[in-house]
Amino acid sequence: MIQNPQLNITQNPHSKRKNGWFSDTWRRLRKNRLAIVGLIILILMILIAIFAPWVAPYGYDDQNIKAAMIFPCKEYPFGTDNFGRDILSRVIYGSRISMQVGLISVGIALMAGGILGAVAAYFSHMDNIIMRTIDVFMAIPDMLLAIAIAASLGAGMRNLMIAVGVSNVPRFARVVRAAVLTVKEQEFVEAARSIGSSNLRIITTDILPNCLSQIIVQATLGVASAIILGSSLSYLGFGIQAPLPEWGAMLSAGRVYIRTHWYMTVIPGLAIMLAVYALNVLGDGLRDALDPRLKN
Amino acid sequence: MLKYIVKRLLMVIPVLLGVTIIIFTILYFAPGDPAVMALGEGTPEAALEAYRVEMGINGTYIERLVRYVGNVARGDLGLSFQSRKPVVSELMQRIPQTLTMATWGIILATVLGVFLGIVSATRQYSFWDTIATIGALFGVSMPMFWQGLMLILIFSVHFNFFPASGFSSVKHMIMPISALGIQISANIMRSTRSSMLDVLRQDYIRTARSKGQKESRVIMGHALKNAMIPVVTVIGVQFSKMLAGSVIIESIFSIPGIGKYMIDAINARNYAAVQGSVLLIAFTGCILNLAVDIMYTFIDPRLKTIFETKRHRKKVA
Repeated sequence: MIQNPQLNITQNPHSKRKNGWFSDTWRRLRKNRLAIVGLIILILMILIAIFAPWVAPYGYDDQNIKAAMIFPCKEYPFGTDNFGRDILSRVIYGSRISMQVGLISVGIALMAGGILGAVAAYFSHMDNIIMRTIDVFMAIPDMLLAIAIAASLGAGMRNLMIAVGVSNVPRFARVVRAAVLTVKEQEFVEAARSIGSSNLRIITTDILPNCLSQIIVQATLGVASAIILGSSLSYLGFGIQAPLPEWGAMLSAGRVYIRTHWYMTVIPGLAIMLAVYALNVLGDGLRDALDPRLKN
Repeated sequence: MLKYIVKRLLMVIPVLLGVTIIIFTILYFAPGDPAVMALGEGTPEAALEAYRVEMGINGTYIERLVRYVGNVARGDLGLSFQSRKPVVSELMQRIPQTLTMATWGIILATVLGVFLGIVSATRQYSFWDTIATIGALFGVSMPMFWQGLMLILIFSVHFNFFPASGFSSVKHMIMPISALGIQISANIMRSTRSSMLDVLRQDYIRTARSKGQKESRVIMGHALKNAMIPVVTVIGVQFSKMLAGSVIIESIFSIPGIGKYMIDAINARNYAAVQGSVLLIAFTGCILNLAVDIMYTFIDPRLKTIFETKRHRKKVA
């Protein structure tokens, strides 16, 4: 909080600026129709994920062998699978898993990558060692790194999130480093240093808030690619296992019946696409809204 | 210039050393004893140990790591746990399929992506621009494996145009290459569009137009050449992404390439083969990045000065 006795400013200028930042961003974002569509889809999906037990007509593992392999009809809008489980309910419950995988793995990547990137940018003697290590990790495509980690840790949701998260660390480290490097040279950082702020305080209160817009954009797009990576790994069998209704695992199960039951490979894929599309248009919209200079 | 290439080639070595150590370490902790997997439960300990010595997987972590890195440096990726053949020769048999697929995939993606990018940048906010932009966003949002499944569903199951698996003829190759290329082309289209829009606002484009240059010449000659500079980087990055994507596409279309080899190897706990595949893909990626950097100097002559020695630069000045 800045106090200026001469001007007798009483309100907290920091909170006012934050308000302005939010309303400015929102005002610009609102004009982007596509981004708003993405935001609405996303909010709906999050609500569906939260209220899955109330929204879904059946449980995700309610087997009814008599009603197996039924094509989409009134009773089962998206049909049933080989165990007679309602695909609509499974897709609804699947949104819980994909959202969790996306958010938590990006959380892991952002924490680890953010610390590494900020340290590398702020303490220049650490820059070389950290970034060369990051370069080595970047040389392994993220899908292969994630597969290797998932294969080593074993299947399961927690391990999948770790695998996807770790393979995304280099990407976030680079983004945060680049952002911190540009902010670091600004006068207010020097000002903070001159009044004796500690390094930790400068990084957390002066530098990171000013990098926030870039980080938000990358995190939004990162969740989208984490959902794709997570479902790809589950498709290959290195992620979430039956009977959990992961979208990629559902596609993998439906692959066997592709010649006879098309809906089993179409519907879970549409769900992935919808979620990822919403996140991508929102991310693009946020980039334009948060940094109008970049807009075409 | 030559000095620069050699220098960059030498810089690949520490990266590959790092990649080797990382992959080795990750898979060192993988569950399952390869010796038990290969010889079966209940095999006497002496036989297991003999197998481990034969495969070079005996000893402590450090011993094994040092031995493995030494072997890799000599171009030996170890023996495949199941077949007991060298991983290198098994990979060599599979490189052509993966490379054919990735090369045609990147050609398709580049042609399609750059074309659509130019069309939508030169007609910004038009009907075609909207269609192409929204289409590209959908392309980016579809997981590659689902694109492959949908291609099978439409062109193999429904219309029966193309076979759903295998890689023996052109007809077999069309679907996997499209599945790889479509998503990548969406990425290339998006970066071509934004880079092109940027360039089209530059003064020299206005100059070119005002001197009465034909519009096609302005776009193809003046704008595209400059707009391609950032796009080349994207294409380079996407090529390594495509090699990784081949893991998925090869499993879907049952193509006997490096990707499928790697997935099969993981399921069989054949970690020497997994390490070899990842190393090969990472190595190819490094070489490609180097190639892209060198290509830069041809596209952007401004960068040539970087490679000139100090003495030479002074002479020019």
